[in-house]
Amino acid sequence: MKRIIGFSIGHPWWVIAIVLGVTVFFAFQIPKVKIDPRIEIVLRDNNPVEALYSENKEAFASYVDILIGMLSTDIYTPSSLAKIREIAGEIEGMPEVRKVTHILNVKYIEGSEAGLDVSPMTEEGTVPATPEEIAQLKAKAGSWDLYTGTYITEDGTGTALSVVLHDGVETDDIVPLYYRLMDLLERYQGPEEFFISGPTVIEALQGHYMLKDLNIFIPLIAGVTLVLLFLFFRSFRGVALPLISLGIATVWTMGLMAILGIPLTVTTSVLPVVLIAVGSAYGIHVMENVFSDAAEGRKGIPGLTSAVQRVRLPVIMAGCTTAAAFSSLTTSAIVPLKHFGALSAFGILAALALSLTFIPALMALITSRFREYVPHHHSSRDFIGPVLKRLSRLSVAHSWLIIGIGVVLFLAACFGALRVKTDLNLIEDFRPSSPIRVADRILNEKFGGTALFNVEFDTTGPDDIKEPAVLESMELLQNELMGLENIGKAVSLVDLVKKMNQAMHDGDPAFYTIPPSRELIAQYLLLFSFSGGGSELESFADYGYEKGQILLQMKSQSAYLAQKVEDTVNAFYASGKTPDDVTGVITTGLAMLAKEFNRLVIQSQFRSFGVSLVLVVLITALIFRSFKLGLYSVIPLVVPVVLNFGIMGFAGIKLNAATAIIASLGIGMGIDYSIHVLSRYRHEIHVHDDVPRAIDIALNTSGRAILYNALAVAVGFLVLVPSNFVIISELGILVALIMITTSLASLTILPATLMVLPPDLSRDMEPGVVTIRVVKTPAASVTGEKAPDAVRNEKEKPYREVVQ
Amino acid sequence: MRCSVALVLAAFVCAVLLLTPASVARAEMSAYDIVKKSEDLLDQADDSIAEMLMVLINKKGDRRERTLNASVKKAGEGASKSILFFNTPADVKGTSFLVWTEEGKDDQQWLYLPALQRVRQISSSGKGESFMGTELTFFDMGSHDADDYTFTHLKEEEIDGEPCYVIEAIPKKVEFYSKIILWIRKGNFIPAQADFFDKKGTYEKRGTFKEVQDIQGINTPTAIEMHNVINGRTTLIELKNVVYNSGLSDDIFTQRYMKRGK
Repeated sequence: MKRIIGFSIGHPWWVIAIVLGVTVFFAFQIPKVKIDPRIEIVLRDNNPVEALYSENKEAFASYVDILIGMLSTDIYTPSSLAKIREIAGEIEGMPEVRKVTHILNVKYIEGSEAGLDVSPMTEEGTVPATPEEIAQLKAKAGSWDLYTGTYITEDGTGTALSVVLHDGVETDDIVPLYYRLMDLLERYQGPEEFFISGPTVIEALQGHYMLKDLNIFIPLIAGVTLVLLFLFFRSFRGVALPLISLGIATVWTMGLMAILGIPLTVTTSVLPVVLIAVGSAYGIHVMENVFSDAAEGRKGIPGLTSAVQRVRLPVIMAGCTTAAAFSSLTTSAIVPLKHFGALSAFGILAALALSLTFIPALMALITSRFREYVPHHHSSRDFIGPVLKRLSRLSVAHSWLIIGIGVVLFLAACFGALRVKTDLNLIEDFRPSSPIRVADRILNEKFGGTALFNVEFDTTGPDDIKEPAVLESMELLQNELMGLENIGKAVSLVDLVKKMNQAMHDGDPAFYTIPPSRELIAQYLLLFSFSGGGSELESFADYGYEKGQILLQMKSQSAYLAQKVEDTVNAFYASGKTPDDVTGVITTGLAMLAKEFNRLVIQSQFRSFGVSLVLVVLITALIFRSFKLGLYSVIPLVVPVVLNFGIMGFAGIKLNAATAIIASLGIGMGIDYSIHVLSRYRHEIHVHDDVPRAIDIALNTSGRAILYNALAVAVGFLVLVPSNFVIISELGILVALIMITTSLASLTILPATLMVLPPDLSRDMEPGVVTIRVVKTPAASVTGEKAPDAVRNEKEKPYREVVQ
Repeated sequence: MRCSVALVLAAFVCAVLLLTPASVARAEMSAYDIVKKSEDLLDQADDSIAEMLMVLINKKGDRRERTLNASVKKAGEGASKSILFFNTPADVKGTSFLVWTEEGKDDQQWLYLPALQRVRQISSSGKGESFMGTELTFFDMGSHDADDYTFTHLKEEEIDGEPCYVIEAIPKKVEFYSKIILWIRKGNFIPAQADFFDKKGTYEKRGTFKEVQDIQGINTPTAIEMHNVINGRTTLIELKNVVYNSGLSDDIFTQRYMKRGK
């Protein structure tokens, strides 16, 4: 690295050319980044639950992709009914749409002189207009509870159109479709009101809002960083250079994302913010050292070189530890977290590398060609100095109190952390006022539910689903499931077969049963398919009638509901209520993925937390060549991380694909603070061999850099607050909070621990420094009034690092 | 003039084949003439009988088979009658399907279900739906009037080494397909393949005549494939034991006969 820095300063054009070349290359890749908000990708990578879900999706045709609700005081009026027909016609004309089912064209089964008749509710293209016709439609719609809650509300104030899309329609196509639908419905608005929801739309809109978010985040974080840099350096190059190099690091990361085919998800969409907020520290470090050396007279290329070489190690350490903590997320079974871990680690290392090559190169160029910038030390009011003094006095004088408070907070937080809930619930990611969430809520109130769930029956061979015993067991389970709360509707082949059987027997309700003959069932279904219902059947049975499914419409996509359904299904299967033909009853659907996500997210959270702690201990131990200091460095990290989970538990913030990155982020940033404090402390203990004094100096010097950095990162993450997603908003606040708590912990809990339990550093003392360690009691501590000269010297250089 | 334009994939079912030797094509033939000639050649016989094997293959390669016996008879100018008896799958054995077509009128269709022991008349509203789970719709299975289409001779092209006329057929009123492109062999005027575009103009499926046999002097497609590019499914249809002009009685094409089964 030393050589590379030398080269960068010696041959700036080369470095700039290479960096720009690489940047152009990556920039051209960025448009290839795919947005993939689908839930199933969260669990890819051979997850068995995901595999079942994908198999089910493959085997059965979609039942509903987009649900359009039309609400009015009474939809049984000629004008409302005409609107259904017109809207359905227009939607069917859209290239993505396979079919639209609604109350006027849904299959109606009735007995007739020749046996049984399966035909659309009203004749194709017609709309009931006379009171008699409308009364007839109403009677038909009320005759089978299959329609209620699906195509019509019980009270007749609402009706729904169920849109099924072609197989090849990609998520990217759905957002434009959604807006076309919105425009279309706008024209029909009044007195009827329209609402659009459905799993496909929710997923697609998530992707859409992600892009909207990025359009806010990127300028916002750039703006915030710009202001912070300006406040800090008050110079154009002090603002421009770090900002340019952060922009480049972001371009590289997003470009790599495209090359690796990593999709943009809610989690990876925060990458630019994370990189800019976290990565800014390295550039600032470098620039600050160069500027302050220049102010002290070490100017020109030699001054630049020595400043960059000196800051090299601490910057590398900070970057590597942060990258290591982020990379711990790659152990996660949650795919977006894994992606985030890898890309953020890459981005951090890129920002680090650029701050030691690209920035020095640019500085060298500017220094040799233009006027050298020599900062004037503005004597602005210093807020941080007194705070640091107070903190150091507190840590030294009341170390037990601080540790006590730490322990109490830790325990309280543990208690709260136990209450942390996990949930992957796409619709709840949206803000409560967003149109999609409002629509979804209303549709769930009025209809069976917008969330779909599948209970799949697997049998021994082709056509076995038509076996009466199989259908009977399906019916039994279906009834059991309907008894569960929040299940709005359960539909399967059973309903069709029973209805046809009843129709065959003059509509006698006593025959609303499954007929005892497999042939009869098969022929009912054949008749149904010959009567134009073939595509409907594909949602209920697979290609070979080897698998059948109960479709559940639910009012919530929650994993808790999924658990209840799964328990019911498993208990049912275990109790032997299915015939031998049935080889398995599988519960699947988006809500099952959510449940699996919950299981994995907790497990992976523990794992990445553990891995990041171990990595960080190892790296710090390596840096300090002392395992002991490695351990000390993580002490101030544990409390804030647990505190974060405690706050989440008490505030009811869920652990999800966004908030799951906080722990790693906290550790990655917090470890830098520990290292700053510890390295300065170690330096001072070797010089003075006086714990309180070493702590005092360490806090008053490194503390400033720590607080500045923590505040900057916290403010940076606050740009996430206006996000379109509740979960990202919460992430912003929680990260801001953990930045404050980790920085404070490194300035209170860490020194207090050092006071109470000073590590024996005699064996890893700095070469050439011989000291006799005398442990002093807290009472004999050095206070702020006797601050050593070193502190005063550092005061003018807020970001000056003294590691090494 | 009734023509099974939709590549007459249903030729073996609904159209009846004649016995005219393929004549030599003249270069100046119009697109309409080519199609008409092709139709005439396929539509030579007064009646036909065949055993059909349908193999349904989904995207994953799972195969399902169904077998049926088909009889078709001409019933005067522009009219025909056909009847299908299902043999497998076992649970629909004995089921039969009768269709009467007449120019300018809706088809009349009946379904006999042995388990119900009743013949049902079926409305033709579901013509766009799949026939028995195949990639052919009821519409494909039916016959079509060439006058409902406008033909354009696009170019000439080789299919499997055989030169073909490439003809575009656009329906005058779009009902199920917005466009069909036909490849008709220059040598014998038997279609080689056809591409179907759905009513929104999306390329939906390709039908191919895999095998053509000379049966009683009539060039007869005996292996047909329909591949749906949207859902990835394929249907193979094989015709066996084809017999032309055996003098089928009108009694066969009645509701009463449906119940008797094959």
